[in-house]
Amino acid sequence: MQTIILADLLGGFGVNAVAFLSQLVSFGIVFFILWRWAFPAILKTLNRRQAVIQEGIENAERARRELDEATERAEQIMREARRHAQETFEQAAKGAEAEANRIIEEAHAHADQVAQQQIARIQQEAARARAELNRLVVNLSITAASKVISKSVDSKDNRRLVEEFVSTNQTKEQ
Amino acid sequence: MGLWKLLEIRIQPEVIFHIGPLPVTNTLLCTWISILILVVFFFFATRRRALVPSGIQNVAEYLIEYLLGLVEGVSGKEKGRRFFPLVATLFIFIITCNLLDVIPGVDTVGTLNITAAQAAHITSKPVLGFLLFGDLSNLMVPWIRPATTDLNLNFAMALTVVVTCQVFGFTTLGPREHVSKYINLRTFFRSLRKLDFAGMFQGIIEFFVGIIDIISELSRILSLAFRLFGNIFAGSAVLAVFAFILPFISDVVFIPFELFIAFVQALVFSLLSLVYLEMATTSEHSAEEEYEQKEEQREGVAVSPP
Repeated sequence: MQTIILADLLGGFGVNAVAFLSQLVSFGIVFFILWRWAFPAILKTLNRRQAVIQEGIENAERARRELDEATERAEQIMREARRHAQETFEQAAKGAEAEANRIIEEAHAHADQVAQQQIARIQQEAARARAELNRLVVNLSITAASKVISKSVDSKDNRRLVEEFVSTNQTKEQ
Repeated sequence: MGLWKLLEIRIQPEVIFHIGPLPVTNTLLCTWISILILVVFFFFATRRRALVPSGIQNVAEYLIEYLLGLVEGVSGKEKGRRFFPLVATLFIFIITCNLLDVIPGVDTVGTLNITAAQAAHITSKPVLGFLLFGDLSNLMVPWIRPATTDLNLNFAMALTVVVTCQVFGFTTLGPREHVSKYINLRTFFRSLRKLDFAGMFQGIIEFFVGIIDIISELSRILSLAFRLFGNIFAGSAVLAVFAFILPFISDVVFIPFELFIAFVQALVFSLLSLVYLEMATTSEHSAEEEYEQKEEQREGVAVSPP
């Protein structure tokens, strides 16, 4: 009885087996088309785009990381270069100072050597001049004595006497 | 004689023509037009598949992404991907059918019902051979009528949802677990062995709850179908009546309202379907255990010293 009432009710709304089946098949067709063709195509595009975006984000992240590393490396190289330059400068300064000291010492040594040589030469010249002077004094004394006594004296004896005199005088002077 | 007469509002769809033995109603024709629109829409949307979308591809992708997010938000990623095709099809198909209601020509272009005119002894003829005025104006059989104003389609979709729920329930939970949701005598027999009368009473209650669940499953077909039918049919009737009372002006108010109703009803039908699918694939025992675990954890947190 209730089934009949429900059937009548549904019949009043135009529900019948043929119309129901045709609508069911129609809905099945649209479901099949969307399920097998439309949705996979769009989801594939969405997934592909998501993969591309993901890859882009990862690449950007990697690039940023590499940039950070490169910056760090560059800073390290700069620090190293600055340290190296400082060391080189200090070494050069030390070298220059040592070289200057060496040159000054050499100059001092050379000057001392030159002074010694000059002193020796002066002494040598003085000795030579003194010897020459002795010889001249002897000759002059002999000449003078010859003239005074007008007597020829043995030259060898005279010379010996004058030389003894001169050497005695020299000893006294010294 | 007035210029117009109020359109005769018929619940049953009218047969327009026959293809062999198959009577083609104006709602079935609308269903086919909707299918055609969707095929054309998705053909152009998926034709190029550019990485940077534009135009119709953008619309389709936005729609699919929105629906996928909605389904995955409710059911999770794994189950969401399984439910998505049906839920998305329901939403897209229903909204397409509903939106046809506001297209000019739908419900307003048709054939003169000569039999009814003769029965009413109306002798006047259509103006210019096709414009119906006066007594003839409400004797038209529309060629196209929104498909969702036909209960046959709504029942077909609702039945599909309920059957799919059962299929997913069987495949996800297993036959034993799924059947025990409706025919549950486990507690009764367990208590019977122990002669635990309180447990037996609880078992009887659980058995009747299972019976109520069966009725509930069946009533879902009716509720889904009649809700959609009632809302869209009423909207269609409102448009017809107000077009008669206040032509042209009423459309400004009611067509946007109908667009809103079309969207809401499509969303309600598809969301309810999603909820039913989610319920069908969720084990009652696992849900209870999960609830008990959460309760225990909460009590443990409350008792434990800071």
